[in-house]
Amino acid sequence: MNGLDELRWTLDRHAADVVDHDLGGRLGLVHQRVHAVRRRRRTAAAGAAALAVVVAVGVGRVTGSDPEVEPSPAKLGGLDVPGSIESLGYTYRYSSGEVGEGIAAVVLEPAARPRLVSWGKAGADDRVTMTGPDPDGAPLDYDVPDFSEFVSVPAGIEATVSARGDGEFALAVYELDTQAAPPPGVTVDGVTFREDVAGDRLLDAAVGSPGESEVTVSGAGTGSVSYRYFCADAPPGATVHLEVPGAGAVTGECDPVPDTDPGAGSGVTVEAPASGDVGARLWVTDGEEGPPLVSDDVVVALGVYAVTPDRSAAAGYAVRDLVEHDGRLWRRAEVRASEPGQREVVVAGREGRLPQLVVGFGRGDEVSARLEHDGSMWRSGFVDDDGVVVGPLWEGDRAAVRVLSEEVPAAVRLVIALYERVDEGPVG
Amino acid sequence: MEAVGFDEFVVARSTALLRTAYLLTHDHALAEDLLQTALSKAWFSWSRIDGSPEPYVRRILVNTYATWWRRKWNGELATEELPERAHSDASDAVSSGHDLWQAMERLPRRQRAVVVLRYFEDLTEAQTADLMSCSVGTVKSQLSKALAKLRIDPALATSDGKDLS
Repeated sequence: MNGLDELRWTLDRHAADVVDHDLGGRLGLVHQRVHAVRRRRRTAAAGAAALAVVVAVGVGRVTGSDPEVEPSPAKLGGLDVPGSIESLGYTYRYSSGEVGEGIAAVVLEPAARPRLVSWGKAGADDRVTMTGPDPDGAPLDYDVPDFSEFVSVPAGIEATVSARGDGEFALAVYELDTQAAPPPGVTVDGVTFREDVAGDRLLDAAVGSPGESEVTVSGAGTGSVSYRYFCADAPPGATVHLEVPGAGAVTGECDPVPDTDPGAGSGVTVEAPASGDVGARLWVTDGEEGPPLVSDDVVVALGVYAVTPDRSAAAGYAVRDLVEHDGRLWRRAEVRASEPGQREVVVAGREGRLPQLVVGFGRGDEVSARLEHDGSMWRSGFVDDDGVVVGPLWEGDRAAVRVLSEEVPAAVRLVIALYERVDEGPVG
Repeated sequence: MEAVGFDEFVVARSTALLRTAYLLTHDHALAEDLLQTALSKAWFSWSRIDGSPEPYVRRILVNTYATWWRRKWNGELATEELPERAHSDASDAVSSGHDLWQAMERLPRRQRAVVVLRYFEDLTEAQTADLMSCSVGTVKSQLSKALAKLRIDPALATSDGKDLS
C-alpha cells in the first residue's frame, strides 16, 4: 500500500464509520436556526426604527464601541437598577437599558469586551422568558425579576437578547469595567489570568505588549497542567503555535479580539513531566510555516494552570467539585450513574427558580447528551470521559446521556453530574 | 417563504455532507454543528441556486469550516489534547491509518480541506479551487504543503518507504 492509497483508505474508513444519528431531527434543527436568524434580522431591522417610539416593544441596538460607560440611571421603567454586577470576580458596569411592555430586546454588536444582560420586572407575575445569546438556545424562563440574574455575551460576537413577559419590564446591559479592580491573578492591559479558575491554580502567565508575537511561561508543577492562551488582532493568515517541551505542539488561528479572561477558556492539558518543569512557549508566525509575525497590533497571552485534583469518583469517572459556566461558579450537588450495560441516564429538572447545570460523562464515540425543552431537543453534543458541560437544566426539562450504538457494551457506564450555583447577586 | 426542495435535499443528502464535515472537523458534534450551520446559510439563497444544490452547499460547508473562529465556551471541561508523539508500527495498517488520521488533525484547516476534497471527494484541482474560491495554484501549493507535513509528521516517522506524493 503506498502513501496516497493509505490516505484515501484512512479517509474512506473514517467516513464510513460516521453513523448519522441526528438525521431525523436535523431538518427541524436547521429550520430552528433559520428562524432564529430571521428573527434576529427582523429584530435588528426594527431596532433602529423602533427606538424613538417604543411603547409596547423595546428594542435597543448597542454598538461595540461605546467610548464611555454611562452612569447608572438608578431607575429604568420605574425599577431600581444596580450600577454594577459581579461575575467571577469581574465588575460589570451599567451601560444602557431598554424598557418594554410585553417584549424587549437588545441587539449587541460585536464588542472588544464581554457584556452581561440583566432584567427587572414589576408587578405580581415574576415570569420573564429570556432568549439568547445562543441562537440555538431554548427560551429560558426565569422567575427572578430583580436584576440579580444575567446572561453573558462573550466579546467579539453579535447577539440579540430578548425578554418576554406580562406588563412592563426592563433590560439592562453591563460592560466589563476595566477600571475596576480585577480578580486576583495576573492582569496586563485589561487581560486577567485569574489565580483560581474553579479550583485550577495559576502557576505562571504572560501577556505580551501589542506587537510582541512571542511569550513564554515557566514554573514547576505536578499532575495535570493546563495551558490557556489566545492570539488576537493579527492579520489574516497569522498562525499561533504553542509548544510544550516534551509533550508536543499545536497550531491554530488567532481570535478577532483579545480574551479578557483567557483562564476560563478551554486549553491544552498535559501531565507535568517528572522534572516538574511546566515551561512553554507561544508564538505567532506569518502563515503556517512563515517567519515570526511582524505586526504592531498582535496580542498574545499564555497562562499555565495546575488542574485541581478536587474530584469525586463516580462510575469510574473523576467528577470535578467545581465548574464555571456562563459567568458563574457551580458546585457539584448530585451525581447519577448508570448500571453496567444500561443504555441511558435521564434526569428531570427539579422545581426551583434557578436551573442546575448538567455535566455529562461517557466513553466511546457514540455517547450523546441532550437537553429537551417542551418535549423537543434543544441542545445536544457528544460527551467524553473528562466530562462536558451540556447546559442548564430547568424545571420541566429533561437531560439525558445515552449510548447511540445498537449494542451497548456491557461495561459501559454513563454519568450525569448536576451542579448548583455558588455565586450570584448584584453589588451596586 | 419555504425554499422548494430544501427539505428533501436535507433528508436525501445531508448524511453524505455529514461525512465530509466529520473528515474536516474530526469531531462528531462539531461536524453536526458545521453541517447545520452550512445548511442554514444555504436556506437563505436556496431559490437562487442554479442546478444541483449539492456543490453549492458543499462550498458553504468547506468555507465555513476554513473560516471558523476557534470557539470558546466558558467553563467547558473538555480540553484540547496535545497530539501524542508516540510512534507506532508502520507495518500495522490499522495502526498507521490511525496515525495518519491523527497527523491530519495537525494540518491547518485549508490544507486539511484540500486533502479531503482531493482524496475523499475525488475532485480535480480545478474543482477544488472553484469550491474553495481560490486559484489552482493555491490548491497545488496547499496540497503540497499538506502532504509534506504528513510525510514528516512524528506520528508517521517510522513509516519508511511510504511516499505521500
